[in-house]
Amino acid sequence: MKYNLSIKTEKENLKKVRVFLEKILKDLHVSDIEANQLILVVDEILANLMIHSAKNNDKKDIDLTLTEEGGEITFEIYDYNSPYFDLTQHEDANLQDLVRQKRKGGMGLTLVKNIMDEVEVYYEDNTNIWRLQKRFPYLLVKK
Amino acid sequence: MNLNTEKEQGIHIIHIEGDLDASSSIVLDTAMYEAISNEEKHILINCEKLNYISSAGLGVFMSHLSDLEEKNIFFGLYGMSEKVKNVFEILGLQQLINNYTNKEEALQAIGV
Repeated sequence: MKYNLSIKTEKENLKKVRVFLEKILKDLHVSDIEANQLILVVDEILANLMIHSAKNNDKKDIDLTLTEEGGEITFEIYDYNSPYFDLTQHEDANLQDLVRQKRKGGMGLTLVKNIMDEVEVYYEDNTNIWRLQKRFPYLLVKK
Repeated sequence: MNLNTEKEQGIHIIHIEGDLDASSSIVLDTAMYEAISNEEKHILINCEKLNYISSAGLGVFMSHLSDLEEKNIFFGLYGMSEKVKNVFEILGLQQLINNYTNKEEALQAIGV
């Protein structure tokens, strides 16, 4: 099954995306805690894109797809007209440093990497395509 | 998200209801800043009605930890649901931030 959603980069839309995903993941019989983790992952990526977009005063469209196949859930997030994002340069959050520096940010991508089995970013046609995958063997059993 | 504060037995309690995300975390940040500026001695966050938290919400707590410690203010959260607690645990934040099952346990820790 494949589901699609297109949204504008406005923080007010984060809740809409969460509600959209919550319903789908419930229908797919993903457990409450794991559904919350998946919703969080998408929320974190979108929030980052929205903050960046707001800095550039550039409201744009983002496409999101969710695919469930063979016990795997895959998200793809299309961030159009963006400079290349090099995920390999991202360093996981050091909690002690964050506390010392009184920083509010810096944990989102670490959460994403800790939750998902695979996190990749492809760059094609000025678009960063985030591909996030997690395996749920129990979804196969429930079918 | 809805937020309100109250003083009970000399303890400053911030009640959070709904979703704490990138669009709403600024409200909590202001409430935390005011409580710390007012030199409150004990600050508790009631999470019984907190439905969702993202890193933006976690970041608010993290950014105030060193000021709370410096001013010797007791700080803790109580009443987190399993899914909210799970988000704290993914990053290991439960080792940095006091969290209690319920209000009674939190008050006991304060010694009230």
